[in-house]
Amino acid sequence: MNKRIALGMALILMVLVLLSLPTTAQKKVTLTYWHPYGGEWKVYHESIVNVWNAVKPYWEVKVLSVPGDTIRDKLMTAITGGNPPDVCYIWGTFDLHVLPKYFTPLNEFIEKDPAIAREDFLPSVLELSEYKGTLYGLPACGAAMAVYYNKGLFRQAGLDPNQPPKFWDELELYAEKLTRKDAAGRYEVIGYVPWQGGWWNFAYFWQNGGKTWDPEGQKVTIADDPKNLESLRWLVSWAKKYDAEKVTGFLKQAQVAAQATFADPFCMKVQALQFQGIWHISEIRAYAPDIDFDVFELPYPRGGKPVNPVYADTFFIPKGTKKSKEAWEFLKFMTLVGSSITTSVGGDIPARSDFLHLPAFTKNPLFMKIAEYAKHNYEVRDMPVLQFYKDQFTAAIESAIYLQKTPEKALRDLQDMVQREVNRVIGRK
Amino acid sequence: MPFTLKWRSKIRDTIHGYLFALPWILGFLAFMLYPIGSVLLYSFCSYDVVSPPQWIFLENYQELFFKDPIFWNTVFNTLYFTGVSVPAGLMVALALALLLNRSIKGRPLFRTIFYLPAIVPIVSTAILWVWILNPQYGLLNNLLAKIGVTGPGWLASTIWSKPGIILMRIWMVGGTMIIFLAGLQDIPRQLYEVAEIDGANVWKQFLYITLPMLTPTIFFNLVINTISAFQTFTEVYIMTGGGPARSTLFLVPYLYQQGFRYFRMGYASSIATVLFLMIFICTIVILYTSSRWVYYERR
Repeated sequence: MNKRIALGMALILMVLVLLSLPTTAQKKVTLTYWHPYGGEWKVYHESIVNVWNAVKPYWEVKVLSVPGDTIRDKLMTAITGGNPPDVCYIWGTFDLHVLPKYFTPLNEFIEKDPAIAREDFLPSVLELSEYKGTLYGLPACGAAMAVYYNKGLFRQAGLDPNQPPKFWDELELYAEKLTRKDAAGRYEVIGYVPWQGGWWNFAYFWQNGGKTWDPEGQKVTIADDPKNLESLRWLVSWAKKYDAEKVTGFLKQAQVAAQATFADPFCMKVQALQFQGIWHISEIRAYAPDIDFDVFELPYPRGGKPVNPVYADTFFIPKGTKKSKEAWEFLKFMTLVGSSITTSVGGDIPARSDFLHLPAFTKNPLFMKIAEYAKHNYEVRDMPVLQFYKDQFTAAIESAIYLQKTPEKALRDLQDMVQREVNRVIGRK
Repeated sequence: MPFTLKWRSKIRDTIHGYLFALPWILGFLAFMLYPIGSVLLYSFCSYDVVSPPQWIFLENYQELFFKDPIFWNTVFNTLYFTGVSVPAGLMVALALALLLNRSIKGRPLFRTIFYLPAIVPIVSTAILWVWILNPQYGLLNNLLAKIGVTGPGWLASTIWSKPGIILMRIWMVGGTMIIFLAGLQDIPRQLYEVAEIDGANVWKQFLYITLPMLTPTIFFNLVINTISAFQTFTEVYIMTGGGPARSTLFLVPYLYQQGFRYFRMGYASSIATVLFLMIFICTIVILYTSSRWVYYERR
């Protein structure tokens, strides 16, 4: 009898406790937002979201940092699982043929909303997320690239820091003077490593006037155009002169983790010239403030033209979110307000042309110098498998650099492989 | 058959047996059979995950075997890696186990130290080994320099990248070593005593007693390590990303690329099926030849 009473009382007590717990009765709009930043960039990025949360008390945007490239895999799994974030931010963008399947088209939103218009954005950057006339993502920032050079190392090598190289042959001479080896024949300082940039190496092909993609015929032309072979042969000549394996091994000391900027070869003063993005300015200032550096535009061959590889980080609204209207509101905020702050702090080119007049940017002369180079953006239009092309391109360049394939064969195999993939995707036999 | 009490209780026992096994059976169906069956099915489809799969029958396989140069490259890399790392690993593990089977001071301590690499998370091990294998500043090349050898480029070289990963694999043989230790301790001591009386030296004892009695353990370790070596992924993903120039691209990283980076899940499934068949055939071959060289003592 006693046991039963005790049990009954315990049950009643439990029910009372449960009833007295506070209930969230307010109607809150909750959104999930994913971004790929880690480290100190994550703090900047999330502080902007916190501004939104503070200003809009009935909204709650839950931020999740999904670092680096893993955000692509996780995004795909989340979208297929029917549980995607409402807004996400991606470094770069996705292959065009994938966009209609994964992301909500934004044309309607833009047409109905007076706050955002297509003309506000730099067209070359906007096109990166546009497939067959439909826009799937809003660019958060563009990119411009330049060659950073260490003035101290210039002076040590007897070069004039106010006379950076402008053409390929000058670049070769400068790099040679800046490279130093120790008594045992190991590298102490490397002048320049042209093949360092992965898909940025496309720039060398475009500078030379080489065509890599024909948008009308949807044809890969990298092996057909002889100018491309010239450029690749030029890259391979560097590899043979400096011994690609030794150079990569030397640089590997500084490249364990992708985001370990403090261990970047330029910051560690073992590389004198480095082709990098505009964001590198703030990184160098943070991690190697003692380096006296400046920038110049990537040298091009005599008879060629200056080129800047286009790149954009993009905001997307994944398919399958039930709150696309609210997501659009938050997206607007991030594009209009957020990206002005993230780009000025992070040192990216804003995707909106009007932002470049903000004092945050104009006060930074080095930044504005590189922003000028973005005028030479090279567009690759309507390439449905650009990411695939970039990956295979990087592998092809590597196989030529490490002398596994002749330049002709590397380009020919690359063209065949990418063309096959293009045909498969657009349904052409 | 007469419906006797004995027969009824047999039926009941059988049903009870299956009921007890039911949780495992359901788990197996849901988490093993269904995904494996799906992969098999998708290998005959073109599937980009968001849209429904489209049946294309053998097109994936045709492309894989006849039009994809990278595939054969990865098969070569995987076979090279498995063919070298598994025997080398077994030999090192056996040597360690033999050494640690003798009564020496601090034996438990040594056994723990040698087993530790097997329980360090593989991602940490991978990052650690990127530094060890660094051509200019890494431990390995520094040690080689002390004996007057110029170390190669390791992960920066197309020739030495696979040996670098193989070395890392061998460093992690702690688990195999433990199993060998257990096998060694199962060998009856009288055999060694008799051999000594008959005048056999240490090497002969090893060759004619230890090895034959150890064959079941060797067999087990061979199969398990081969299966695991075929499926290498994390080391490549973290340390090299498949490079330089695809020299460390094995089958699993390749199928991961195809499935998750290029959204070709059907194609990735066909690679996975081919990998499954390769491992299956390898295991069957080892199993069928085992009756020739594995000796099970019948007690």
